[in-house]
Amino acid sequence: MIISPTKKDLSTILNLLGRLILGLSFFMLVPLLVALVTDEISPLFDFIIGTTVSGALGFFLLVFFPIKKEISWVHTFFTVSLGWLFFSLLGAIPLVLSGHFSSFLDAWFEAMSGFATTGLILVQDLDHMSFAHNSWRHLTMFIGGQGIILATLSILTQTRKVAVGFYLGEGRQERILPNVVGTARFIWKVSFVYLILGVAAFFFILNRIGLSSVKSIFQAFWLFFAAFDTGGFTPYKQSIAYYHSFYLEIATLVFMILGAFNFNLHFWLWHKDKKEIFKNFEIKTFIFTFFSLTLLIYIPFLGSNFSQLFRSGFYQLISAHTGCGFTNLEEGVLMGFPLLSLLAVIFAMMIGGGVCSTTGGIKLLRVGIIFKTICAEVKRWIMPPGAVFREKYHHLNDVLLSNKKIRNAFIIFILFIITYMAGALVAIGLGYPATAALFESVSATANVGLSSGITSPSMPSILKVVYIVQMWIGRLEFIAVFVALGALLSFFRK
Amino acid sequence: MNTDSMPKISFYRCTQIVFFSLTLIFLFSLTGWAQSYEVSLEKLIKTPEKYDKKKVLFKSEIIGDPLSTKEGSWFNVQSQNHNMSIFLKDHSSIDKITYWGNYKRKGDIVEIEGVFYKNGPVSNQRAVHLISLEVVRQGKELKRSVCVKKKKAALISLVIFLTIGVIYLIRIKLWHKK
Repeated sequence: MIISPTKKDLSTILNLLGRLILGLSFFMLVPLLVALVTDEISPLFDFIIGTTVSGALGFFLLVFFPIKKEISWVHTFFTVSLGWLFFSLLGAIPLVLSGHFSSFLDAWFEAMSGFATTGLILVQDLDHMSFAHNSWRHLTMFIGGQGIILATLSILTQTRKVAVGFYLGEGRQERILPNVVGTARFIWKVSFVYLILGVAAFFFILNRIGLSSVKSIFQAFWLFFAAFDTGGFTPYKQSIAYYHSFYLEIATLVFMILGAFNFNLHFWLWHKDKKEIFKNFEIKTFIFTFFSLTLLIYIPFLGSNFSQLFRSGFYQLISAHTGCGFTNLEEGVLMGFPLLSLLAVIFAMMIGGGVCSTTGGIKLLRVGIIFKTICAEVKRWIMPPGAVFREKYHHLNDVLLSNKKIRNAFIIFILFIITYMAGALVAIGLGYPATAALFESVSATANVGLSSGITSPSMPSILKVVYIVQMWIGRLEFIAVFVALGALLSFFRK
Repeated sequence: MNTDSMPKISFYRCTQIVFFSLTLIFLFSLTGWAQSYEVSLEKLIKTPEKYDKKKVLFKSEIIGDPLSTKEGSWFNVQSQNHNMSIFLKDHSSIDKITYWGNYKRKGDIVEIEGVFYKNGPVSNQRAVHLISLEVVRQGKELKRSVCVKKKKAALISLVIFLTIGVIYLIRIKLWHKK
């Protein structure tokens, strides 16, 4: 039996949504302060409007929609799904006011790309954008990557059930600590330690290549947000290629990989067993997929020098695999790759990083489980009849490969493949080449941000909407969105 | 036909003509070799094979900052939503630039002559290696005023925010009293 939501349920959901929107309004104070400090008057007004509109909507929902029912998982899943839509819509307000977008749809696309940590951009004349708006673009990735909901629940939520619902609704499958609020706080602690290290490293490099101290400090923060939260925005249209710095490329690689690691693994390495990194199933899967794809990407580049191999292949592959979307190549170079290398990048984007990390895509654990299931099935066929056979893998502890785990992995895998294909078919239908269409669709759904060149302000509006939906459901890994849609349909059927 | 009536071309004259022709051909090909192709950045980006290792000439706006690496200096230019990296070993050309484009400034518009490399000798980067740079139009400070509509919208949304915020606080107080 499907539980159909009542008006009391909707009131509860809208109340929870109001709390989250108030949190978003609070975050908008950061670029507002940046505008004040850097004497950017027009952006200051943009963020006054953004903050107050979000704040007013948050208070409105709290005042007129009280919590009328005990909060359940359906409420939290519904709130998470709506939350991402509302964050992107409200987050687009200061962006559209900046004058760098040709329509509200473009600004919404950019905001969704930020919150979903994708990195595809529709901004025009990015190189002339203000500090305040750039701060906001990059902050959306930090909020989305760390999870605005995670942030709110770590500060505001008292009830454990609500917290667990929010946590799982955001597409995070594993808890690190028994208490989910404790988990949220641990993720924030890890992030802030890396933030200090990352900002220091980026500041030093940027300052050395000639940027002023003020620019270096701002851009160090932005690049950290983009790398660690695997978002991929940069303050310049040329992405990392703008800087022409080998050291910066190395530093971004390090933080991309750290961001793509499972937060559980960070916890294990920090507090428990450091040897886990050599035994962990996700790490083993990463090494296997990474080296297989490296071979695939390099076959057409055989005979090239180290510099060409690193710049052309390695960096793009790591960027794609971690879901970051940084590129150190100039415009048009990536799509000039041979087909085999492009396919390697597409596969890397499809797979993504660890579960319970800031990356998108199918995720390493699920790919590993699917691979192990296939191997187990082959073994079963060649074993004597009646033999009892159990497959295990080591992910923090020894885990039995159960039917439930296999089913979950296959469901998400199939949903991702369908979404990748659906987006590609829409673009092909609109007249784009097949490889470029598949590349862009995978990049949007897996929240990567590398572009085949399709994403531009001049692309059809229908495709912009399709990519927004792909980024949204890809970030939340389908289930929260499906639960919300199912509940909504049953509400209107009554 | 009587061939005696035709004027005879001496060997010396023949050599002169051949030498003159060869000189002309050499000079023309030299001009062609030294010629810069005037291109747009869009063409350069979309058809890199056509201009690989050839001299190109284009106009664009200077953006960002001068960047220095151990190989030399870099700067970036922008034209009609397309960007290109410029590499130079000698830092002196950068001194000609007064305005670097950013939020508060429109960068200098410069005419750049250089050799375009699809896969450049420096770190394999696609870039133009600068030969000469001329400032065509100097940049300027950008005056970005706030329109009245934006000011009014900010005021209205602020008032609404404060009103609903106060209502919320009153309700919270009443709820606590109950």
